Amino acid sequence: MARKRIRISRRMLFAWFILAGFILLFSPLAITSRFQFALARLFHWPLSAGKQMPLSAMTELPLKDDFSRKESQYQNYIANLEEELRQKDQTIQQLSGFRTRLRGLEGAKLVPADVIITSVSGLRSEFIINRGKDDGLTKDLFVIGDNSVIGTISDLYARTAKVRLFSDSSSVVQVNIPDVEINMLMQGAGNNSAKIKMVPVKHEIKIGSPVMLRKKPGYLDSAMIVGEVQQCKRDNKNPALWDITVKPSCDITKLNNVAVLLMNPQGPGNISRVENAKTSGGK
Amino acid sequence: MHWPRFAVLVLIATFLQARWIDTIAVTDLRVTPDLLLIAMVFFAVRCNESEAIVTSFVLGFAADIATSGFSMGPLIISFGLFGTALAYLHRLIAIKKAPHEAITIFIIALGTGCMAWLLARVAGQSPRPGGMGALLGTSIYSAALGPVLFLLLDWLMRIKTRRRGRK
Repeated sequence: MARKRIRISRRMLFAWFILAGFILLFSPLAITSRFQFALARLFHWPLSAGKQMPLSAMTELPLKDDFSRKESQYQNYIANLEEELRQKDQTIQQLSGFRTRLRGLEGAKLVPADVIITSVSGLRSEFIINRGKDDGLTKDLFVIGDNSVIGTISDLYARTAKVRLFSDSSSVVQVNIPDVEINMLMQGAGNNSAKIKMVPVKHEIKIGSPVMLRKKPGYLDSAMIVGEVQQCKRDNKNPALWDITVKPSCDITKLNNVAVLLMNPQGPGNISRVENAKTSGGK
Repeated sequence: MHWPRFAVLVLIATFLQARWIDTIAVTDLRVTPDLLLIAMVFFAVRCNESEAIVTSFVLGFAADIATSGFSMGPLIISFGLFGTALAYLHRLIAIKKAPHEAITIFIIALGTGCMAWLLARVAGQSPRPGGMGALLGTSIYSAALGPVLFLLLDWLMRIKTRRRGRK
């Protein structure tokens, strides 16, 4: 018996697809995010493998990239040490007698994670990592890459998490610049940059100065580098203030591995996959 | 139409768009070509209307997954609409030579980009950032790369072109 062939008219086909598109368009972001997380998990292997395989036409570039990345890591490491030293000096001068933790990451747990999908374009700067609630992560934990803080955990699922980078337009963090003794707020500006505003022009800001993330008890016990001053000009709206552009210390597009910073881990028994590890490629 | 081949091609193009495309980015805006859009235009001008409708929406879905971060919908609809329109338009206007293909890709890229931006706004999602500069750059880059990839796709898909509505 001949098999009956199902025929669908072009109009119906088009209408069904359009309907599906609009359903997806107007679905809550939480649902579509879950869907994308599921796809990311499903295709985790090829997506991760892809990052480590250079195109054949670019055989010479990885060496150059590796070198510049190593150099960047060293510079970030040096900046962290300098900041640590500066804080140590301050502590001694204040003679406060408080016992402070001088080494920023001493005693902290670092959860190594692989980057699954990066979404860095324009105002949005996020990526997904292959660690989640099951690994002891919670929201707002800081994420480290190439010895610098690059973002915070913004969404959590069982085995994956979304990291919002400091260059994302919805990211606002407290920072300071060494030798400029005021608190500043840094907001993401997209395109791999962030802005610091509301800084009076009486403060001298040098191009290339490191921008340090302020310590946040329970999350970060010592200031760490997030970037450097790329541009400093007077604010168009208020010429009495600086409009400072910050360039992140770490090139996100070349990042394969990161580490999530757990300052006060619950204990080794509660976190199954937590390891004491150094930042990817770090010291 | 070889649908298994098409499925494999979509998967490969999606992975390339999601992971490798940054390696050929140019300028400070990190302009990259849109491989899925090039594929959409290819299937719209090489297949019949029914196949073009299916391939356009499927490639739009893949584009939403690969490039739009965490919002879905705008690219499925814009790819679907433009792909379908192009397939019908192809009955009237022949798009065979490389310059014509490049111009088509450029126009379709601009159109889908603008429409996706508009749809994202309507739905209250944060639209694909980068602005007009990035969109224009992507359109030009895709148009430049498109005719070359068309040769590769012609060889891979081995579609027998059937022109209808014209003699």
